[in-house]
Amino acid sequence: MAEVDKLLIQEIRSGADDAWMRFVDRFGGRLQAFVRKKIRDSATVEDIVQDTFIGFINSLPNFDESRPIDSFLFTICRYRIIDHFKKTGRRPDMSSLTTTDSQQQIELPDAIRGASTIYRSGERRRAEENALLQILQQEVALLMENEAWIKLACLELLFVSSTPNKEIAELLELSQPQVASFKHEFVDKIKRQMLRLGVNADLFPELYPDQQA
Amino acid sequence: MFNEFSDADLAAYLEEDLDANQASKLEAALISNKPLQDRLQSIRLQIAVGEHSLGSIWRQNNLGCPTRKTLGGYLLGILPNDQKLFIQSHIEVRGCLTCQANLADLQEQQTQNQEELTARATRYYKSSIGHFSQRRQDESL
Repeated sequence: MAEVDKLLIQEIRSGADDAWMRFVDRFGGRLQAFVRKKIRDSATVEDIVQDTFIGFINSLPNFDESRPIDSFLFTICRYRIIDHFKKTGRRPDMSSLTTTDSQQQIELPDAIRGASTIYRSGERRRAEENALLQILQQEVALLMENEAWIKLACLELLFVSSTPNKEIAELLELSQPQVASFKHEFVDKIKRQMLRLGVNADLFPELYPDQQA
Repeated sequence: MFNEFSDADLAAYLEEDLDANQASKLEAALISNKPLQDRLQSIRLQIAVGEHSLGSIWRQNNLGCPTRKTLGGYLLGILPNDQKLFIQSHIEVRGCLTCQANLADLQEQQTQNQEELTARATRYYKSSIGHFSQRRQDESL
């Protein structure tokens, strides 16, 4: 977290009203712009931003200062938007499938019972996610540090938005073999690091692109 | 036709992380497209049982998102070409909603009347300060 944000959080934790004013001034605009991407009604947008700030106050005792504030705020905000859409019937209700109890009861259709589909405890699941996250953070940071922007763009489009290789090659002025090469190099590196951390790479289907089809 | 939406798009939709235009297109397609409905349901179940996706871990943790300072540089057009292309791809093609919001906010700060921005902050302050004070009294901040 940036030093200026750390100081602001410390002041808020000490209960300073003016620090809270600075906080809403600093983050209100970006949160409002975020909600406006989803909801047009301005009163609803402001209600959701307000609920986000209240959610932040409630979560503050457990807030991990190693995490960027805006990422934390956007996560709260996203949940408020999901709640809003659930209330207004605009999105499927996922809540019944997200509790620990309900996880024991879900019958999975055969289509998603692959080798990687294994019931695991929440603790184990979090450990696997954290291991992959740690590796990805290091790799992305390294690419940024080396100013390998085109490679980073290529990997992000491949893995985050599943953009086809041909389209990526056109967008980034690469050849298709270059895109494939970036992908293979990245996948190999991630798999090696996961092995080193003792995490089973089989759990992540994207690391086995040939089996995905 | 339904393959116009990748699994990554469907997961982002379920987590309210898909661009609004894409989400509207997806909702329109879902009405009459049974295979697409089935894929969405599968992904919904995968999320519910904790199936990992490298893409969603990357997306949920905002990996690669430029800082506000860098986005400011992007708006001013002072970044090197490759970095500019990365940010363009990140915002427009990958469709990062967080960075779209940060960029819109930075643009608004440049163009909107300062009094309006202050009035907005004051509204948020007034609507939350009661709760803030209550938590302070509870000593749970």
